[in-house]
Amino acid sequence: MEYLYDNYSGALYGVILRIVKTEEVAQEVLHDVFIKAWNQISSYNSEKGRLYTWLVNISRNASIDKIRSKEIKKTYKTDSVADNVYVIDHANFDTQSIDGIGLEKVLAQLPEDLRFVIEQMYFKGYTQSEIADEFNIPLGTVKTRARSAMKTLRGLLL
Amino acid sequence: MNIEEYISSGILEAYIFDELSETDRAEVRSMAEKYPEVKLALEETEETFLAFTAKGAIEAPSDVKSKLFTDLGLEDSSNPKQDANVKALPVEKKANGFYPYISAAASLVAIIGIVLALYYRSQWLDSESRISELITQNQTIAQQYNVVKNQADQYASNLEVLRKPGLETVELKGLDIAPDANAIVHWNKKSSEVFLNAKKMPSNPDDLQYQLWAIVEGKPVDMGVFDVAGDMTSLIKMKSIKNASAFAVTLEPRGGSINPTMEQMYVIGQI
Repeated sequence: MEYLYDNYSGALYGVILRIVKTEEVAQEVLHDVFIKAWNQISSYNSEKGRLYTWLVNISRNASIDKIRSKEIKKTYKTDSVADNVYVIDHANFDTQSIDGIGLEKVLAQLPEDLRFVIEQMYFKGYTQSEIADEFNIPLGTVKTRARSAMKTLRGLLL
Repeated sequence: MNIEEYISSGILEAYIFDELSETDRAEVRSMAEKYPEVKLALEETEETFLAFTAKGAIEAPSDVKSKLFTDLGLEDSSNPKQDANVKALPVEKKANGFYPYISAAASLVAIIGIVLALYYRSQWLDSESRISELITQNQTIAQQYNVVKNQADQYASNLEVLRKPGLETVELKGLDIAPDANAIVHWNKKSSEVFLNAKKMPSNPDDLQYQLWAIVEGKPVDMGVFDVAGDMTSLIKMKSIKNASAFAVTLEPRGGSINPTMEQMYVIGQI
């Protein structure tokens, strides 16, 4: 468990903080994610995907659930990742701003339409068809954009 | 179904982003097993997803870990706060318990040292004053010894003079201006030496000096000047003379006169 925490808590905290936007809530969600992971570790099946991916998606889902729950929804209505960046940069200015900027810099290099899809998928938890419905974009276009966004990111990151 | 189309359909992204139902997920997995291209594309998408996630890593505050591990009933090896406290306390106590003994011992040594220093200092001052007292006494005794020795020497030399044969002793008696004055001339007629004992003469003022005269054929002859001061133990050796009928002492200006001042004659003695 300590291995999991030491290796993944940073990445997961980064995901959670970008979604829930406040450190206090992010710490709470991170805590809950590891509790959940600890309790469900037996149900994790390595054939179905990597442990890391599983943890990231637990974190994303928990965070998205959190902001979709009523109490949070009322308080936080900002929608763009740019706002998140602002919050994160300020919340973690002393220790982690470089890492935060790293991800946002990569995102900024994506064409606007591709970035939008990725942000909605990753940070908002929208499915591709939800994005199509919500923003009146043809589903095929959303799918293509999702695909090419990931390809572009791969070029930038790997 | 065209594999390229399948890969480009966004379903792999949906899979990785956990959008799909368990049925759809199983289908993607089976496609990946069948087609290496699908498997590769899926792996690449996952890698990108994870790299993207890792890029945004932010270190969580350490108290999240402490709280989490406490809640899970696990030990947090990187942050053993409570353990450290429990262990640190006795160590601190030990240090606190040992240190006072050292400082107390050091203080005691210092106090003993100061007391001894003061004691020896007073002893030393005592010795010092006694030594200087003894030195003074010693000097006094040495001076007294010198005085006595000088006197003894003088008496010895006086005795030498007086023991020589052919000595004529002439007593000079006080005149009107000094009735109590008295002097003795020891005149050795053989050697012509003249010694004067002026022990009973009054002291002369600084600007004046006594002068001894010999009367030879009625005329005064200068026999030398002398001062009367101190104990006058020693005999004063005056000038020599072969013949004389009397001796007299006058008080003259310092250095003496050619002719005696008759009014200032203190003593005189006939032979």
